[in-house]
Amino acid sequence: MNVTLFISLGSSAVVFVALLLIALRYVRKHRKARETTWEALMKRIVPIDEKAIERVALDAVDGSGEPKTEEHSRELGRKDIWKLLGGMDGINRIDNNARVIVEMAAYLERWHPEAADTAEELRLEARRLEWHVGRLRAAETNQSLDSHFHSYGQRAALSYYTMLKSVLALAQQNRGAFFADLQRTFGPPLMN
Amino acid sequence: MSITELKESLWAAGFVGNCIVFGTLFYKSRIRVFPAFSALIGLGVLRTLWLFSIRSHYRDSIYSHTYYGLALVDAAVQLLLIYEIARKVFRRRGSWAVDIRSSLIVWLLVSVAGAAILTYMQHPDGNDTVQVLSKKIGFFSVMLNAALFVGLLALSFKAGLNWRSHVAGIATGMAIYCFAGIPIELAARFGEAQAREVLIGRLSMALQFIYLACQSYWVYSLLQPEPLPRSMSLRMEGQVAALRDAVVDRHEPRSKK
Repeated sequence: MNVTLFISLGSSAVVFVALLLIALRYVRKHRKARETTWEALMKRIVPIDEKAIERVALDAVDGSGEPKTEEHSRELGRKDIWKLLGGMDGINRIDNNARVIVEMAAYLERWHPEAADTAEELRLEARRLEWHVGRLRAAETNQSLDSHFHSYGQRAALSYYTMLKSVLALAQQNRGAFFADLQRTFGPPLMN
Repeated sequence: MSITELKESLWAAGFVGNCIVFGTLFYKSRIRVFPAFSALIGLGVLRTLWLFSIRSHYRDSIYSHTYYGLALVDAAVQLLLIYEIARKVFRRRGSWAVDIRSSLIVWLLVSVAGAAILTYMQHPDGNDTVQVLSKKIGFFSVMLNAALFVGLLALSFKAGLNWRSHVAGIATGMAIYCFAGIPIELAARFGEAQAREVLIGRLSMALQFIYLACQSYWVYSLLQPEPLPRSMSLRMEGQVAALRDAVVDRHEPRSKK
């Protein structure tokens, strides 16, 4: 076999095997996601301090829910945000929950079409959160976390808080009394 | 049964299989839902009829050119099918999911570039330019389709987007056929010319058997109804409440602001 033929067949074979392995991996992941139960997803959620998240999130927006301008300066400093969110450990917990919430959104979209709008909101917000966490991880790698944590961390907290709002909206769609109970517990900020 | 008889039988079985798949699409009113897939299957039926009708009346060169020409059309319709699948998965509410748009475009460009480079490196045998070009486009098509399928699978999982059962069924069949086609295309390049003829014949038959299996799978999955939505029970509502409890760590009841 000549060298040119060997290179052309070899490179195609390598690409083929790589594609096949990736395909099998994701087929297995899709199947696993399809077979999972709501309860199994719930078990993967890790607890996060609600009050801390709310404080950091609401510091980034004004009363109408819009991002604060320079006229309405933020109260929390860099150290406060780091402390309230628990540093990168806290961010990792938020990221874990965001990933599970993406799967929950898929579950709701698959089985409960009436919750499809909320599921899409959850999914998009979780993706935004993933993006902020990705920036934080990159900053950690570049050893520039100190200068970026307050900014991306606060946005991640706001995304997480918005997701909680979506969960409440989901409850609202399905049962008024149940929602009222949640509203009493969770409080009115950012809720329409 | 001789090799020639087996080949003829597989050809006939493939034709009947395509008719059954198309009949199923029509019977279940899924032609409008999956126009590209219906076109691909319909083209398969017409192609067989056309080639059969000219086989005994025209010269080999005319048959060969028609065969390879139609293979090009088939490759183009396969790309339309990929677009159809992507549309079903990523464009649920009238617009493409905003979070994966750029990733989709990047993956599309990477797939096209990768398949083009690998195809450029191939030098298949052929009697004339049309035949060589058709073989190259055939190889480009299977590589591109396989890469795009992988991209759709990975991106949809990452974005938390579901595959409805019929889309998943069609895509699975197409992906198996594409992935089976790649090693067969590559293996057919090994060995001496005479031995290769025999090898190509056997591998083509193997691919035809795989296609028959895919047809059976398509008929089965298209006959099944989409899973019915489940009503959100009180228990499920309780679970949503539990989700809220699990997501946040409630330390103490908070007074209303």
